[in-house]
Amino acid sequence: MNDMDKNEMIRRYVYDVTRRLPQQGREDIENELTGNIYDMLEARAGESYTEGDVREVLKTLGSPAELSASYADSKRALISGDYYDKYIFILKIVMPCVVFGLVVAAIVQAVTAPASAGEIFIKFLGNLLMGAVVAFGFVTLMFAIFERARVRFDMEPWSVDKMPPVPDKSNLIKKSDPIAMIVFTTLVLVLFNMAPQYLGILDLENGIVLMPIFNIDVLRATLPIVNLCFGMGIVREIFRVAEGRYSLRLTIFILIVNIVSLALLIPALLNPALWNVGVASLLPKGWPNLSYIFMVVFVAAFIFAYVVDSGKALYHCVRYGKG
Amino acid sequence: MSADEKREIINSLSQELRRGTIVLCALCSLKKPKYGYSLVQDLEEQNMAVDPSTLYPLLRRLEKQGLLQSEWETSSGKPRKYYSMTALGAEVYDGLKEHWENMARGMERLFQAENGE
Repeated sequence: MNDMDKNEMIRRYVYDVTRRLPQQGREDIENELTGNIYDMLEARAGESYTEGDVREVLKTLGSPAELSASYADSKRALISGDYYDKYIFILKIVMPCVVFGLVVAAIVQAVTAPASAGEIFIKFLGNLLMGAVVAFGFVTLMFAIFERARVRFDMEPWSVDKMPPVPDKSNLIKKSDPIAMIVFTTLVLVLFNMAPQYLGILDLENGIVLMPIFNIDVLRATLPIVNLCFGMGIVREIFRVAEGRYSLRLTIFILIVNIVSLALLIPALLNPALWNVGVASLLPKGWPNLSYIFMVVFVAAFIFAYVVDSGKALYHCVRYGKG
Repeated sequence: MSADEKREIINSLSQELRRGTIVLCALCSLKKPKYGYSLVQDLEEQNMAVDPSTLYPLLRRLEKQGLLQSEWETSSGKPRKYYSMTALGAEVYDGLKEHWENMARGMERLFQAENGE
């Protein structure tokens, strides 16, 4: 740490102060604080300031966590600063997904198994309310935990040598990927829970019949595992957005989630009873068993997806570990 | 109690005193446009030193309240953010200064009264 560039030290300090602040106004504070620090250095030691001078000046300014807190608008909040930005961002994705998914499920139910319109509507409203409340509470809880963890971390004694490195631009996680994952996972979750019978193939031979890929009863029994794995997947994506870059703890979390999900999902998927053998009748004789094909495809797809995701996280973490 | 501990108490209590005067000092010094560190230096010169880590966020807060306005000055080599008092700031400053003078007179009276006993 002793040969760390003086400018790098200042960069890290300013970054550590501003990273907790909301997006708005962050750049202005960065520029101003950096300018002030260099002014202080110049006043202290002229053009040729040493690393020791930089340390002294930074010590004068105090811990980045405290300085950041005094720049912040309000005192302690449940979720604040950049975490609040990300929290709102996630809510704006998750809530519409949940609502949309439930609407689609309700429409499909109404069209294919019409009970009284009133009954369906009431059930839909009930589900909507519960789904929205659960999703909202879940996301809020996650970010409250992140905030609390950071507050705890900030209370530890600070030193110039312990500041986190400024992340490389290419190590930052693009928000579009987690968004897509969250949308996809939420829709799949709603579908599997509310209307799994509609995951199927159109059998056009005997009128228009929708033949489900899964045995609904077995699927229902498997639902807890599916929900757990996909739920963990959503938590993983939220963590990805909150962290913003592939830090060590994010990468470890991703690996754990993916490994556990695979360990739970593969045996569940490989259960032959899960797959509707009736589907096989859709192909002419002599063709391979279609339900078997579906099983293999699903298992392969999941393995592929989880392995690629884990690999990506590992690669970024190792390659850009320092930043 | 040791002399050091006594000094410690006096220091911490007088720090609280000073904390109350920071806004008034800053406003007074900002009759002319200044940037962060130049303000720190000017206050120090007058023996009214303020912690930079207190002053910098304070300037932003005062700007948000409408007492100050800022402008980035890019003509000289380094870009610098200059703060100056707004009309509202000037009014607030006058009001605060009057309060301060009243308080100072009040304290004088209190000291005299107590000493007289």
